[in-house]
Amino acid sequence: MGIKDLTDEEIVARLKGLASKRPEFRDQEAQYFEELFKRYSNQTYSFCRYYGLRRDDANDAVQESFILLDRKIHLFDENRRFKPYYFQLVMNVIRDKYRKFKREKVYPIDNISEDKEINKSPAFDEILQNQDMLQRIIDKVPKKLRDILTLKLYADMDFESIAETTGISVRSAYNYYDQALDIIKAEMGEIQ
Amino acid sequence: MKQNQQIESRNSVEKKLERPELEYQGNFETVWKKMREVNDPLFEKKKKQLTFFNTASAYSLLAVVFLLAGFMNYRAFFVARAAVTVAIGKTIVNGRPLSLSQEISAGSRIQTEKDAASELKLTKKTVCRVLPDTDLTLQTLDDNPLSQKIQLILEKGSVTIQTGKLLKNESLQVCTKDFIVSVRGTSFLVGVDVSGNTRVAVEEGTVWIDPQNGKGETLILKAGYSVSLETNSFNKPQRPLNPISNDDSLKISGSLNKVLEQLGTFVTNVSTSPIQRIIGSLKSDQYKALATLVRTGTQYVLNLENNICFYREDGSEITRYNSGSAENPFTPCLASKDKIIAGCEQGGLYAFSYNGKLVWLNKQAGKSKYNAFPVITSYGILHPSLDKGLQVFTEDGALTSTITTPGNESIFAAPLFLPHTGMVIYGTDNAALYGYSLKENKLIWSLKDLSDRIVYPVIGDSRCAVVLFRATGKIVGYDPATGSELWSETHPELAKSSFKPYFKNGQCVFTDSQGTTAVILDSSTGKVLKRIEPKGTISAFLEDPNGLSAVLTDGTTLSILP
Repeated sequence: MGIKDLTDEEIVARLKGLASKRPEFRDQEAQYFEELFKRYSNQTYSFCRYYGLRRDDANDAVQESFILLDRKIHLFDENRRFKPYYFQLVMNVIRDKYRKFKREKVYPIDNISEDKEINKSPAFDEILQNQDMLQRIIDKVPKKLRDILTLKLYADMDFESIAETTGISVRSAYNYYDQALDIIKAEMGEIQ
Repeated sequence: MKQNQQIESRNSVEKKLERPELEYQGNFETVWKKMREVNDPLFEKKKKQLTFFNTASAYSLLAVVFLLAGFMNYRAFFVARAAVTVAIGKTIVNGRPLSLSQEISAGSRIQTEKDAASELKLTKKTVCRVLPDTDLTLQTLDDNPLSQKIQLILEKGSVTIQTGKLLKNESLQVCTKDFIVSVRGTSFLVGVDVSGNTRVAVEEGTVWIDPQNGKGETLILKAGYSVSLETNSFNKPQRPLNPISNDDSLKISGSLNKVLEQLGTFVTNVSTSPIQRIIGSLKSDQYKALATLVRTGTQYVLNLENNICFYREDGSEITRYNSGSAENPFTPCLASKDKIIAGCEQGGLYAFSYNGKLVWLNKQAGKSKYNAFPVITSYGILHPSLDKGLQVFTEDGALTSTITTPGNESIFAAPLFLPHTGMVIYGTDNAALYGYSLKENKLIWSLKDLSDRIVYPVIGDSRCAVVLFRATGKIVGYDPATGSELWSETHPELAKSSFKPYFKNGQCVFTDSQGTTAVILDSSTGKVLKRIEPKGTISAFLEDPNGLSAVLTDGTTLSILP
C-alpha cells in the first residue's frame, strides 16, 4: 500500500510515530507531509483567501498551517478525524493573522478578481460578476457565522466536522450557517 | 410549502456563493524547508528542556522522598512507640496480652508474670528488658532526635536498659518509689525488690541516683558497681558499692546473669525460644506463608512457599533451598530418619539432608499440590501426584512403581498408609476413595461418587480412615479394610481449611481456615473431644516427641496433643 492509499488519519498516525524518533527519519516524515500537503494545500489556500486574507497572507497561512501541524502533530488524537483537527489549526493561523492586522492597525484590502488563478476560471464571472463585492458581503457577516460559512463552502466540510472544528454543536453549526446565508441574502438584495 | 421555499432560497444563495478552488502557488519543498527552519530549533530546545525537566523531576522526587522520609522520622520521633522485640511467657500491656512486634505507646503499663520477660526497643538507641514479675509504666517516650526523653516508672521487679550516648538535652530516667536513676549513655539494671528497696547495677557508663524527695546528695554509680538502697535511707546505703564483675567483657546479654546473680532474686536467663527466634527472623509476609515446621533433632525445617529453610536450634539459618520460581512452591516437608522430603507443584521429588544439602532430586515425580505431600512407608516414599498417580520411590530416590488411579484421576491430597496391613488409602479429584494393598499390589476396594472431591489429606489408623471434604466441612470415617462408612459429621467451620491435619492416638486434629480454632475429634466416633481457641492465630503445627504443638503467629507454642 502506497502513501497515496493511506487515509489522512493513517498518515498522521505514522507521522506521530516518527515524531518521537526525530531526526533519524526525516525523509519518511517529508514524504508523509508531502502527501498531506498535496491533499490540503489548495483547500487551505482557498479557505484563507475566501475567509478574507490577501494572497500573500494566504500563502503565508498555508505555510504556517503546516509548520503548526508539524509542531502539534504529537497532540493529534488518533480517534478523531484529521480534517477538523487540521482546519482548527488553519483557523488559529488565520485568527493570528487578523490579530496581527488589528495590532498593527492594517486592514488589508485585496481584490480577489485580480488574482490570476481566479481569472483562469471561466465560470467565475458567471457565479458573480463582482468577486470583490461578494467578498465584502462575506466580510460583513459576523465572525462567528463567517467561520461556519467559510468552512462549509470553501473547506468543503459537513456540519459534523464544522462542529468539531469550531467546538460548537452540530445544531448550532447548522443554525449559524442559516443565519449567515440570511445575512448574505439580505446584503445581496440591498446591492441589487 | 414554506419549508420548500426556504430550501430553494438557501440553495440559490449557496449557488451564488460558490467559488472555484484556488491553486496554491507555493511548493512543498519551500514549505518543508521552512518547517524545518522554524521547528527544528524548537524541537531541539524542547528536547533539552525535557532532559533538564527529567533530571530536575528526578531530583525533585528525590527531595520529596527525603523530605517525606524526614517527616515520617520526625513523626516517629514525636509519636514514638516502643517495639516489642522479644516476648517470653505472658506479659500484659494495659490489661491485654503482649505480642511480638506490637508497638507500645507512652503511658502504657507493662506487667510481666513470674516466668515471663520481654524486650522493648524504646527509641533508636535505647533498649529495655522487662524482667520477670515486673510492673513498669512507660511514662514518657519522646524520640525527638535532638531531645530524646524517656521516663520509666518501676513499681516492682527489674528492668535492664542499654542506651547509646545521650546528648545534653536528652534524658533517660527510671523512677522507683524513692529514687530517680538517670543516665548519660550506659547499660544498667534497676530493680525494686519485694520490700521496696531499689537496686541498681551498672554495666557501662555512669548512673546518677537521686532521691525522689530531693533530700540527699546525688549518688554516682560507676560501671561495674551495684548498690542496694533502702527506702528513706539514701544517704547511708545499706550495702557498699559492690564491683559487679572483674570481667571486662560485660555485655548486657552476656553479663546479665552475673549482674542478676549479684543482686539475688532475679531470673538468670533471658532468652527467646528457638521458634520465636526463627519467626522473629522472618519477614511478616513470609511468616503469613508459614506452612510446616519440622523438628529434626536439634534443627528446624520450615517450608515457606518455594523455599525450604533450615535453622539451627538457636534460630540462626543454616541454609535455604529455592525451587527457582514462586509459582513452584514445595509441598509440606516430611522428615525421614535422615532426610527431609518434599514434592513440588511443577513436579519433582526432593530429598535434603538435615543440614540443607540436596541429596537427590527425581524429576520423574509428578506434579503435586500443597496438600499432596509425600508419605514415608515401609514400601518406600509414596508421592501423590496430579498427573502420574501415586508413585513409589526408594529412600535413594529411585522410582520403583506407580499406582495409577482407575480413571487416571488427579490426586490432590496425601494418602494414608497403614503399616500393619500395608494398605494405602487415597482420594482423588473425581470424588473417589481407594483402598490399595501395597503388600498384594492390588486395589482392594473403591468408593466412587462421594459427596465431593477429595483434596485434603486422609488421616487415621487401621481402625478408621478419616476424610475431610474440604468444600463443605463434612468429615467421614471409613473402615480401612472395606471402605464402608463408619460415621459422618459436618463441621462447616473446617471448610476450606488449609492447615495440615494431624492424627495421634485415635485423635484427629483439624484447624479452621482462619487458624483460630483447632478441633480435636475422636476418630472412632467422629465426636468432638476438644475445641481449642488460642489467644492468637495458629500459624503451623510442630510435631515432636513431646506431642503436637500449635505455633501461634507471635511465635509462642500451645500444646494441642500431649
